[in-house]
Parts: sequence; structure tokens; C-alpha cells
Amino acid sequence: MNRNEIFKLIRNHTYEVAPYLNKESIKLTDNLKDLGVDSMGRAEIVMMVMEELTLNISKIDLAKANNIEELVDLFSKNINHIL
Amino acid sequence: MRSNLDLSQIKITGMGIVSSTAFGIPAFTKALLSGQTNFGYLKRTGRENLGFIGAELPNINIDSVSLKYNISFRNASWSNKIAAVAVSEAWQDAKLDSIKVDPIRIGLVVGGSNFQQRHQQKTRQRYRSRPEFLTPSYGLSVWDTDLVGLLSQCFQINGEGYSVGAASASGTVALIHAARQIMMEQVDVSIAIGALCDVSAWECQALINMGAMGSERFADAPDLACRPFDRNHDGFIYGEGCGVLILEKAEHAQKRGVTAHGNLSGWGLTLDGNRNPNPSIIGEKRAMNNALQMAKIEPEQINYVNTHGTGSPLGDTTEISALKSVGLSHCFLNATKSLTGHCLTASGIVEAIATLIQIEFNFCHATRNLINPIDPSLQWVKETSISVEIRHAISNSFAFGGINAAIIISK
Repeated sequence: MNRNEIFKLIRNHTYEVAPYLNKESIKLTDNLKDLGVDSMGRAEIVMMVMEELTLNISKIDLAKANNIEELVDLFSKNINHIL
Repeated sequence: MRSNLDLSQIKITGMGIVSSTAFGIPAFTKALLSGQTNFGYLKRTGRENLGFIGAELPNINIDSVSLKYNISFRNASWSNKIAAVAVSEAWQDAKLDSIKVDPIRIGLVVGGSNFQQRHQQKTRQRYRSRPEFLTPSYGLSVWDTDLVGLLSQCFQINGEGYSVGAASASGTVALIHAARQIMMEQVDVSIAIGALCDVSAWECQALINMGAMGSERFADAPDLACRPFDRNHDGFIYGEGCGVLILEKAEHAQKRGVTAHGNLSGWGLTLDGNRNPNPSIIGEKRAMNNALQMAKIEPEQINYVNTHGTGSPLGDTTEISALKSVGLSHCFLNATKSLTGHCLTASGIVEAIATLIQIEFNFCHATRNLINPIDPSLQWVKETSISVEIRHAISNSFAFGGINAAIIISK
């Protein structure tokens, strides 16, 4: 799965948690908090993406990601690590 | 309890209901009048295809409530989504949308404990093979009090709020607590919710195995299975449902220009000192007598009893003995559970609503499948509704654990 596909996955789950957002306007550089997603919503999105990618990344590493792009980086790195 | 307010000050200014026969008070009124039922085999995931008889809600659209109050119900349990719909109706009925009340003067009591078993069962089933991906929101939704949080956010309620548990008497106990909040002058308005008891196959099977839930006799005829006080009764039949009542201080309601549906005039709440499911004539009698004493009403003044009447052979006979010993043999009697099914945690509120509607529209609804009463000497409203003016009514809720609750509702 490439970076763009991972981004789309995050975007879909973000929209699922926050259906009031315009899905297409969610950008790589967006921060979930600024989009109005609370910490519970963020945890939900991250968990759903990890479930689909069969990844289990530590909460400490996940907390370091400051925006969607950094989440994509983190997921991408871990997938490649498995491969 | 020391209080500056007496019971005549407790008015019921809002009602909301979601039941297996109708959504909303106007439709529920029609359903009561016509004696409508919706029994069948349980089909919801987590209790489906096992032959359990009961009454489930027809399809319901909850999106309008979610949009109106701008809150996502995505991770809310079935019980909690339905409660939000029922509160929304009661909220509008009490004109809390249009004639605002300070949020810190509004209280909230959720009646029911362990009422989201099917939600929990479904969640565990889904993540059984991969628990590391368990949805974080389960850490919130597993608690009954998630409903307290959801409703307080949705409707901006900032006064006292909590949940109370009393098994099948939970709804009634919630109503009593809401009245206490007002009598102690902690709030001016309090919302009592009888939460939908969302049983999974596990609870159904246990209740059947203990002999409480029917029906073996009518396994092939679900519509005939629920028959409180009939000679062929063989246990209670489950029903999905959620009811909401809004209580308000009389003076406060008057200032807001809100008309009351009725009055909560008294209650009795007693324990048998018995952990088992079997009921007690003495305990039930004490609950009704305490309610009469609190309301300063004589038994002869009661016109109608909304019985606990589940269809459990021992429960039905015990209630009849208790009613007779209190001096209520002259009253018209029916059983709302014969129409809605036994809504367990919600039943007390669902039946208080049914009582208020019957008082308002001068009738007693039919008791479905009551053909040969176990005691023919009493004033049963059998399969046909009757016209009657009701001034004071008793509504009973008796629960496992020897918990007995009786309330008096007056015109």
C-alpha cells in the first residue's frame, strides 16, 4: 500500500468519525484537532486504520504525529518494516 | 426527607416514547386505543434465529435527532440512540426548546443498569480474534452512564445527573429520583428515562432457564405468548422500548406557560429482603400502601391500576393477592406489557406514560390474550378497551431482588 492509499484510508475514516467534514477537502497537512476531531475521535480513526493495515503501533509513537502527513509517514514506515 | 415542596408541586410536563407498537406519544395513544401489538421472533443481531419470542422496534430513523442537536451517535449503543430520540420528543413536548430553562436547573436520571448487553456482546464478538484493535470508544460506551453523558451533551443539561438500577423497576425508581431532585430544590426540571433494555441471547437464555421468560406453550404462535393474568400464561415476553417523562415544579411550569399531563402524587419503594426472583405479597402491599399514604389518598379513591402484570404465573397471582389486601378490588385492571412486551428497565416509565394517556383520554386499554382470568372476580379490562374517567391511578413495578415500586398518578 503506497502513501497515497494510506492517506485515503485515513481520510475515509476521518470522514466516518466526523461526517460534518467535506471529505474531499481533507488535506495531508491538516491536523485532526484543527478539523474539530477530539482525542477520542483521533484514537478511533487511528485504531480503524491500524485494523485495516494489521499494524499495531505503540501509543507513544502515535502521539508524536502532529498532522495527517506524519500519521501517513508512521503507518508507511511500519508497513515497509513488516515487508 | 425534609423538603420545602409538597407532592402536589410535582407536575409531569413532557412525555416521549419509542415502543415496539409506536414511535411518539400520538401514535402510542392510537396503539393503546386499538390494542396494537408487534410480537414475533427476535431478529436483532446477537439474539437472532434462536426462537426467542418478543417485540422489537420497527425500523426507525435517528438521523433527524442527530442532525438537530448536532451530535454524532456513531459509537452510541442502540439503547442510547433510542433514548436520545425519546428525550427529543419529551423535550419538545415540555417546550424546553422554545421556552428555555437555565441548564444548571435541569436534572437527569437514567433508569436501568446493565441495559446494553447486546451492544457489549456484539463488540466482543467482533474483536474476539483481534482484541488489540478493539474500538477505543468501547471504553466509554460500556458504561450505562454513557447515556447520562450523551443526553447531557445533546440537550445541554447541567444539573444533577446519574443512573439508577432496580431491574424491572428501574424506570419507576428513576421517576422517583427525578421527583426527589425537584423536592430537594436541586433543580426545577428533571428528566426521567426508562432506558431500552437491549438483551443479548445470553440474558434471554438465562431468563428462560430460570423459568421467568416464556413461552414454551406458544412457541409456534408468538402473538399468543404474552398473556398476563390469563390461565394460559407461562412467563413474561420481552419487548424493546424506551420512555421519558419530564417532571417540573408546578410554579415553574406555570411561569413557563406549560400545561401538565398529570401529577405524581406519591410513591412507595420497598425491599423484601430476598435476593431471589420470587415476589412477595407483603412487599408489594407495603409499596402500594406507602404510596397511598404519601399521596394522602384512600384505596377507594383509586379508579385504575396499571398492573406490573408480566404473565409470570407466580408474579400474576402474587400481585392479585397484594391488590386485594390493599383494598383495590374495585379498580379497573389491565397490563400494558400485553401490548408492548416487558420493557424491563424501561417498563416503569413506559407504563407511567400509558397511565397518563389513559387518564388524559378517559379509557382503559385492552389486555391482549386475557381471555380466562386467573381470578374472574376482579374488574379486568380484557381484550376490548373501555371508556372510563380516571382520577387517581396506581402503576406497579416489581423487580428481581425483591424490589417493589408503586406510584400514584393523578389527573
